[in-house]
Amino acid sequence: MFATLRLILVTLGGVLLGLGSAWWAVGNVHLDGAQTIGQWSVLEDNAKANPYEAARAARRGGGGLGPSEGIELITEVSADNKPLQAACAYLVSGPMPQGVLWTLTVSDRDGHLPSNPARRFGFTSLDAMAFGAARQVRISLGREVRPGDFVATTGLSSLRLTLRLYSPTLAARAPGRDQLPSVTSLGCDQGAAS
Amino acid sequence: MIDTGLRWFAATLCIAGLTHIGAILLTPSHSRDLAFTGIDFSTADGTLVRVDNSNTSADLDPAFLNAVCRFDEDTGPVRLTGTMPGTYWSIAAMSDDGRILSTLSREDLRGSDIDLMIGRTATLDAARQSAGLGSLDTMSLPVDQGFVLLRLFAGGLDDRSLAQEAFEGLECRPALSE
Repeated sequence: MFATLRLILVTLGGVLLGLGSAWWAVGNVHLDGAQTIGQWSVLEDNAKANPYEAARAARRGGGGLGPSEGIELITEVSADNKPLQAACAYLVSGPMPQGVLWTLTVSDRDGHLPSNPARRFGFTSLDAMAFGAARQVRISLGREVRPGDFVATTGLSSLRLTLRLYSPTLAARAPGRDQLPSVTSLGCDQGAAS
Repeated sequence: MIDTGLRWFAATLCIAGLTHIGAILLTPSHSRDLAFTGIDFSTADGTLVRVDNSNTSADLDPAFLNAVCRFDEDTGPVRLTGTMPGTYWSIAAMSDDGRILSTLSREDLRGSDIDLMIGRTATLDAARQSAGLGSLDTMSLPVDQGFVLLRLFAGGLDDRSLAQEAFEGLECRPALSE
């Protein structure tokens, strides 16, 4: 009786541990050696040989970029390595790869877009303001409207930034850390985040 | 007693490991978020179906006009024809589980007119011969079924109208139906 109960507990525990670790592994882009550039992680939906990437692509529902299209970078952390929170405001600032069509999209971790009347979900290389000789961007995001390029994060429960660079050249040779912007915190709603 | 405890612990880890491996390997084929399998293609009739966050869970760029076309054993290879806009565009062939199999972008083709046949490698030549088609661009895939995803840049108002205009003129039909 005791042995049977122990067998059931061990089996159940093993299955739960296996499923939990699989769920965590698929959600963690850093686990299986995914390429990172500063705070940005490179998503590789075309990495067919990597079962974790295949599972990750299936969980995202597909739609990633192929090698002749460009590369897709995501970040869910700020420059000081703290998780991005929907209740906080952030500034995306710094350079972008020159001469390349890029888009920056704000969503939650499941890919849901913010609900704002302007249907502004991010910026692109064609509509973002660029400053200085290095043509640096300054895009703020949060729940309270801010001057300049701004994306409202209304309706999001978590935060993810996706930077897509449409260039086969960059897909073959990823941009350096000094070619990408960083994400810094501008503060949080009182009581909403620590 | 310690030996017995260790044995049970090792057994738990073994079961966890097998479950972990099984879950990772089975996810692509059993994911509930399969790329575009929930889209209704019955009314498409030779046109591509627009997709956005209202009818797919796929993680698509909202700055683009995205549209898909289905191919499977019944349709055989499909032929995508039309005129692409002057802005950035790309075409990706994907498997049912959302993995990208082959891609093509504006840089790969000369000119804006497109005539592209997409399908399994073995069926492309047969389709080309039986349909009496001359030289046209092909996208050879290792699978019989999947989706063709078209992305047209529509970041600004002008880009959106150009993308919409190009989208309306594009056709995606079974190559053997002509």
